[in-house]
Amino acid sequence: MSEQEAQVSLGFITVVDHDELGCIGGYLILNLGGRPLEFHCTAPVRANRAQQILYGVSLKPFLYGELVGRSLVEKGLETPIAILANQPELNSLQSFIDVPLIQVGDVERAQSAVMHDLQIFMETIPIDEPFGRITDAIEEARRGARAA
Amino acid sequence: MLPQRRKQSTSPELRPHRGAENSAAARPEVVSWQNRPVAAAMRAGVHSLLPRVDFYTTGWQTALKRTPEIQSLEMPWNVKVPNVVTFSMDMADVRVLGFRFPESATWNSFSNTHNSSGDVEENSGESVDQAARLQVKPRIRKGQRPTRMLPPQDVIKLEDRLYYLLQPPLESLAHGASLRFPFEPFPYQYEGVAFLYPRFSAILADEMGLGKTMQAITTIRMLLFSSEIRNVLLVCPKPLVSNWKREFALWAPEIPVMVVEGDSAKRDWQWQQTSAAVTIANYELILRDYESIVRDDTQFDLMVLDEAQRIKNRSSSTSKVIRRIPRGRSWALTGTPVENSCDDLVGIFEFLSPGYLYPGIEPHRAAELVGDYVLRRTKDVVMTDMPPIMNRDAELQLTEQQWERYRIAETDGVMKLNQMGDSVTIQHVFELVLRLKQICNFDPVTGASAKLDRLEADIEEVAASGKKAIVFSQWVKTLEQISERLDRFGPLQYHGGIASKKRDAILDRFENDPDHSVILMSYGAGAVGLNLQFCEYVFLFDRWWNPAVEDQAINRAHRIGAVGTVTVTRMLSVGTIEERIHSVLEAKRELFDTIFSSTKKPASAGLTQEDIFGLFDLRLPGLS
Repeated sequence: MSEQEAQVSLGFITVVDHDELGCIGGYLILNLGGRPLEFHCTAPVRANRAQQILYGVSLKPFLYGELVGRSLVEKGLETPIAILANQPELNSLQSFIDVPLIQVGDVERAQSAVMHDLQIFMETIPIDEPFGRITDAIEEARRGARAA
Repeated sequence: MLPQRRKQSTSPELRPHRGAENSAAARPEVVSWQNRPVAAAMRAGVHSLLPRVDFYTTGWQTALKRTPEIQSLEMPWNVKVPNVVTFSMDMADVRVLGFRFPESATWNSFSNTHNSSGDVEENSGESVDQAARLQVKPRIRKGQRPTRMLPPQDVIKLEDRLYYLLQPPLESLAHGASLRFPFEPFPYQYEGVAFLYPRFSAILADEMGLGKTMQAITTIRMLLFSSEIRNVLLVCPKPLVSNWKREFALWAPEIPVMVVEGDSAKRDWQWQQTSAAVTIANYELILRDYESIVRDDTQFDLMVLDEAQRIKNRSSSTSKVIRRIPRGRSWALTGTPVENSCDDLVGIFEFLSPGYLYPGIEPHRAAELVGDYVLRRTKDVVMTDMPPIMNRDAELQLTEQQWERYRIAETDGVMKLNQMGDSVTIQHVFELVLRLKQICNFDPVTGASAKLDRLEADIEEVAASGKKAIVFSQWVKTLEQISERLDRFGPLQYHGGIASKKRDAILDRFENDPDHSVILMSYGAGAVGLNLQFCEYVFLFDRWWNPAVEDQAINRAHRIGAVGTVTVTRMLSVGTIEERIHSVLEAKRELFDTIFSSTKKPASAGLTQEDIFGLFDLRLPGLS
């Protein structure tokens, strides 16, 4: 991987639903070699009962995409060429960002502009692998917060 | 009788309507009652449907003429305004915690950071050939669980912990750096690398034969590529220096390796060289060259001790000198971190993390403390497809001559020890033990040997089947005696009496020349670091003092690449000191298991002075 390629970055975003705490979002920015550049995670967000009732089925897309996802991406310093998500509820994030949001299952249909870089990335790392890292990092941060 | 007309009430609210005032007297008076307001309403045409009630006055009807008293009640009409609850759909701002990591090196080329000097002995001569052998490009296979690094427990800062946690899988790191391997590493070997990589203090305590060398070299290679370290000092027993050099050439041909050797002037010059990424030296040279090593405030980013049990004795000069060498990271490689007691582990930790353990520590407490620093895997767990070991305890009766000699020696020896009273020392007891063990091997007068008779028969079979065998003994003299009897099988000898330079050639002949079916090795020279996995038979002619060394010996053959079941024959003379030692060795195994297994069963003590005296039912001097 050339240094130029190392500067190109990809974003990975996911939200973990915790039974007691609510949902916690994580956003990882990697270079094309898969090395971490930035990581952001949210404090737990929980809708109250009224919000659950009144939002109905639109609650998750609102929480995941509009609230958690948007907050995370806004905190990122690097601008990735695309953001990959593994939950359809995050699709609502697309309205708030300027880069393509791609579901991992739809990578094959990604725009040709980003396809080249995605393929470089996928030569080394399975495209869904970083989500496991985010989940572990969220758990680590949560444990750290609890210990503090 | 008609009822009397009664005076009508003139109540304004209810007044009789005398619609029949002008009618004949005979006719009964008709009185109409109407609610006046209602009547008024009727007149206005509002309640036109209300019935008009006419009736004749009768006696009892007069009561109806009385104006009823109607009371009105005022009822308060206070309607409460309902409370309105407003649910805000706004949610509080989401708090976001952010971490930014230093841009990692691209791992493009190791040679970018190290310019090998032609003066420094290195792999470069072999590297071209070796590099061509590196065929395997690591990658995450479908269905394979990627191997990720986990932060050590002593990394406290969340940012640092996340840095390790968020690194790509090792397979991806190696792939991205175009690191190739001669063979595809086993998953547990990747896990070993993932264990070592982030640790500044670690013991890789895998059972012999699982590839500690390869795991250490691969981790060193990756750390050098990522520029996390720049220079490494690797210390190993002298016989293993060439083995390490060979393994570096195999697994990391691009890494410049310098072996410190030669006279003191050459070595002094070598210690000043900085171009070699890896410097290999044996323990004895470290003792001799300490001043040269530390003269220019040299600090090694990583110091690796192979067969680290060599520093288990904290007060030995080897341990003291090793601990004084300035270094960043400290790793110990050993399959036997505990040979006799927990204090062995304390000794090794004095190198890794001084003061972390303390002498006399309870095995259970030690097990709790060292958990994050030690990685120990056994073959039965990680190499489920590896050929098994078949242990055969050959319990042999001494020959008549041996038995006669043994009985006299033991009786006389014990008697003498008893006569010595409190002046008896461990050394005296030891001498008797050695003498008796030697008689168990051979009758010193006639040379009769039940063990050798058995061994000869077994080797006959081994040679006939075209297999190879290793025979271990603790005495060179015993090996020479065996060699004479087994001459027709082309026995080779490998022990302290063989010059180091000749040893590699001997091993090569043993592996490749079908005329040599057996190699005779001393525990001291042959137990560690050798790869003899082409052998399927191991004979322990006599037993060593602790089971760890015996295991090391056995694992020369039973290691990765073993072609078939390894049959281990442990020779034991029944009814002798060897049986009693065997019991003590089993107790030591229990101690090891207590520290390095999750089960918290009570530990048995190692071979204490009391145990040694106990071999002859002697009491320890000074004890009542």
